[in-house]
Amino acid sequence: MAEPIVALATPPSPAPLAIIRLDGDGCIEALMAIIPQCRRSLEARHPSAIEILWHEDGEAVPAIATTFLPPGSFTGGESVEIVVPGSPPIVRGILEQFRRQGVRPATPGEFTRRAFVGGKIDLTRAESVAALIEAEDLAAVAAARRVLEGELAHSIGEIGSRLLDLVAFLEAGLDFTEQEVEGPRGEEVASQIQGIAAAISALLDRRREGRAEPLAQRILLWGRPNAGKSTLLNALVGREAALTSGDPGTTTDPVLARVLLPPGGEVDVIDLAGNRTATDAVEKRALELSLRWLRGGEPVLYLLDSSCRQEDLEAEWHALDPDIRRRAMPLLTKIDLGSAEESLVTAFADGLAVSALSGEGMPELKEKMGQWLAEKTPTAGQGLLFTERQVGCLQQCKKSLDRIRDFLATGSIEAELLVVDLKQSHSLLAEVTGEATPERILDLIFARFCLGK
Amino acid sequence: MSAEGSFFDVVVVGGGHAGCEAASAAARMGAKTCLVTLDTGTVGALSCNPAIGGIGKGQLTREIDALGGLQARITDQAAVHYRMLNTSKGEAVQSLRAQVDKDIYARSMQKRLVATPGLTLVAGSVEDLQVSGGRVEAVLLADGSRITAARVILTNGTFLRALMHTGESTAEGGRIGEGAVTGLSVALERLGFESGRLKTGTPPRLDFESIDLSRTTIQHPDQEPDGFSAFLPPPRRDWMVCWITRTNDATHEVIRKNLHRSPMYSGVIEGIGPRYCPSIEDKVVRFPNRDGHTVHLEREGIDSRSVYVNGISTSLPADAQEELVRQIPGLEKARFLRHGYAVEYDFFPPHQIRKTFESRAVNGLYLAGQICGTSGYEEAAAQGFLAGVNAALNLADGPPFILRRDEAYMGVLADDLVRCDPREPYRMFTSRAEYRLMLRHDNADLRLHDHARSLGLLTEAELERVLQEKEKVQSTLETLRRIRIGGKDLLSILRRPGATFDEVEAASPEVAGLSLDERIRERVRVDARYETYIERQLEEVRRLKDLEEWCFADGFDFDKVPGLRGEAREKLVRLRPLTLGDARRIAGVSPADLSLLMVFLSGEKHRRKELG
Repeated sequence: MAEPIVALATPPSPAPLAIIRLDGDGCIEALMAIIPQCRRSLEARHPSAIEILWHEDGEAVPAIATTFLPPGSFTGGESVEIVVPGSPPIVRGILEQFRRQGVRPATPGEFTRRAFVGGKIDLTRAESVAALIEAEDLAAVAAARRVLEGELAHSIGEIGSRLLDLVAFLEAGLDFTEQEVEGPRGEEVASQIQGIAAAISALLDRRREGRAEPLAQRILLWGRPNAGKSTLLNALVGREAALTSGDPGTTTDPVLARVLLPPGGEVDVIDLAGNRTATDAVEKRALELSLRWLRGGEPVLYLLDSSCRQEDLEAEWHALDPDIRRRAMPLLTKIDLGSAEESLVTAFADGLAVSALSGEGMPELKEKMGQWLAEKTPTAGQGLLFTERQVGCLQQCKKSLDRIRDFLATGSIEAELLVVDLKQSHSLLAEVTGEATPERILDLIFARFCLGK
Repeated sequence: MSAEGSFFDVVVVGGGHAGCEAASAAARMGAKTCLVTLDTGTVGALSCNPAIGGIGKGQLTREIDALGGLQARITDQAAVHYRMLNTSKGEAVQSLRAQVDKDIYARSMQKRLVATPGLTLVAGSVEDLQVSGGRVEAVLLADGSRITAARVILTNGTFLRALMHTGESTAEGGRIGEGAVTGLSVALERLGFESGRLKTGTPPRLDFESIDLSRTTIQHPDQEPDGFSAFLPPPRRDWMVCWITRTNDATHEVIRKNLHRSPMYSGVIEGIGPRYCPSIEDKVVRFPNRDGHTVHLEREGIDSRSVYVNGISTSLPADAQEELVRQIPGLEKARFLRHGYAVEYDFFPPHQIRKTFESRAVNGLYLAGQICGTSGYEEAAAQGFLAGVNAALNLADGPPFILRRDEAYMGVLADDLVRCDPREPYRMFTSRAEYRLMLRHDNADLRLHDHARSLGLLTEAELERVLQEKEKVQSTLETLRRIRIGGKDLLSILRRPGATFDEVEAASPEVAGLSLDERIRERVRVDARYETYIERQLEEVRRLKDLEEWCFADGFDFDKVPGLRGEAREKLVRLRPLTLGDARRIAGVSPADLSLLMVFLSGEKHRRKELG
């Protein structure tokens, strides 16, 4: 039995297309589970057009999947290759869908290893793959070093130490009773595990914050209906990307367009339905859709109609969800109407004001957007290195700790069994930081207890 | 007896726990064997504490027994006090410990060896080795005589360039009243072996008559112990008790005052002592806040007045030892029969041996026991047994005998040692055995039965008895798995905490009808308890087995593999793993390093695992 594994086979940067590869028993079944529209089974070795889920809300994107049955695959086992749109959030979403189906992220070189074990690769091919993997691993080593110097590794290391401390404490109570060493009590263990699981959750939460991709940058346009979002979008791209009118609520579906920024950068700007209380089902749906985009953690340009009263605009700005406001930049629009007061422009710190119609302030806006994006891009060494595989390890670790805690709640689990579970959790963590030595447990025991007869 | 000019298949150097097992196993497997030791009167001696077994160690003793070795049988003949340890914990971490009569133990061992056909005991000091074409040919004794040997097993214990320290005074020797061996270390270094220095210590021995027992607490033995050997009836005799007392602030004060006179702390001892069996000086220094440390008083024999003061191993000067002992309740008027001392000795880091205990540098030369940097009678015996068996198999062109980590503590020991660069003596703990739920002392005989049969060191009747029991346990487990009551199979009912076999029998007439004896019922109950966890572990074993199939050829150059991280490369070069599985167990080798190694290996003309 080969465990099902999944990995992105193309580089993790935006590209028109990306290839996701799966291997192992049950991987075709996992694929079928996330292409709900497909009623018939896919013909092996035959590329099939499918719609694949990438979002928990049931959103799907078109893709091409090819399945392989043993022994006719790269590894010799059951496997799947899927060509999907190359947008990183979509790719990440699809990988997440597979993880929910119980497919584990592959470790580096694991496909190749399976191919060797399955006797599917001859030596010359093996060597060329070797060269590839080597390059990949050298990059991985460099990346790991950045992680090691970063806060993330520090946190993982700390959680790992807490787990190992607990294991050592339990082990000491097993191996050194002759020396009067008492192991920890049940409730002590339970509260330790609770704390460790919480620390992992906190770490996983932090990963969501740092989720913006440096290469796939997006800015969301938001504001009251009729604040001029669509007009601004059209002015930014230089064509009529979005339908505009004088009536509020013209935009219902998000409209995406790519905008060129000086000195040569690009950004996807997304025009969202306006910020207002929904009165009917369509508006409600439009608002929900906007809010989903807004929760994604991406920067927001919040448009304020300069023809409105200053108090109203200030109240509107401060009523924004703090999480969105933190990521938002206020922008005064319609300054060509000439009603904007000086105090209004200074009230919003950045003092950005444009007229999409006259073009006034547009060059400054673009420059500002460029700078702003550079600032908002997470620095390398933090969230970026929090790879799919690492997230997978952390999630599994958390799950296994939750299971242990549930066991403990039922009243009785014996130390020698508890240790098996905890070590398994630790080895999942250790896969992130790459340290797992039984000797360390003994070292910890010796550091803490007075042993010897 | 003189062996001058004679030829032996196997020459074992040293008559301690490793040497006895090695010589006995080799001879009984058909090799013409000679055991050379400084003094044949001290063969089988227990140099330190009068006890066999303990947590992690008792498992080794049971495994040696299951394969046909001696330690368990001799212990059962000499035991005066048995205690099952960790009875409040699960069966997988319980172990048997026996206090023994040292005289009876050594005499029983000697008697056993003398009666072994094909085994000759010789008194002498082996000072040199003759090696030709990378293969050992003979050993040379201090008196100038030469013994030709096809295989040589060195089990010199603590005797190589040994120094004994008591306070400021130092004497040559590996055990009180005995000498040291110097030439052999030189010979090994000349052959390219890397050597190191380790230290161990032993506490004072006091006169039983001088101890005030009224100020101590009695520790009683188990009343109906099973004994160690699966092949002897449970031992029944008048058991001895032992006594417990405790050090206190006054004791510690004496130690602190004299610390500068302890060779360990004044820098005289170069070797490194074990953290788990520290001297009382170490304990006081490392744990200044403890107000006392437990002391066990163990008589060294039924007729012996000598009491082993377990817990205060020391190398302080004699006057300081006397002063500190007199601060301990019950020992105020204690008479010293012998002072405690530390021994410092040469060892040869075991990454220089293979899992068969044959050295990598010289064919036919085996190292086993404390010479490999371990500590403990049980660890030594296990190594000696494996070395003796492998030397005999190798002579007969048989396949090597290597136990895996998931098969036995002995497998863990051998596997740990070949990758080990010990900074302190290596000792077995249950936590070293990742598969300890399977490797229990209670199932050693059943678990190792197939291996025992292939080695042939047990009698046909003994093997048959184990086989019958094994089949009985297995068929009972099958039955329990098959019968379902209320939607649950009986095995899972038996697995519930606190469940008893009686409940299962009450629930199922079929099981009751088997009328199983208590021994089988107990075995089945313990197996049931661990079953789900063991299944998980077996899955892991299977997953990792792939890695064991990938071997590094002799002399594989890890420096040639591109992309390895510095730490991993350094460790690999030094410890020379045989397989990817070995490499994985080296601390500092990451999954990415493993992938690189695997890919590189595929490019090499890698061959199937060459065992040993």
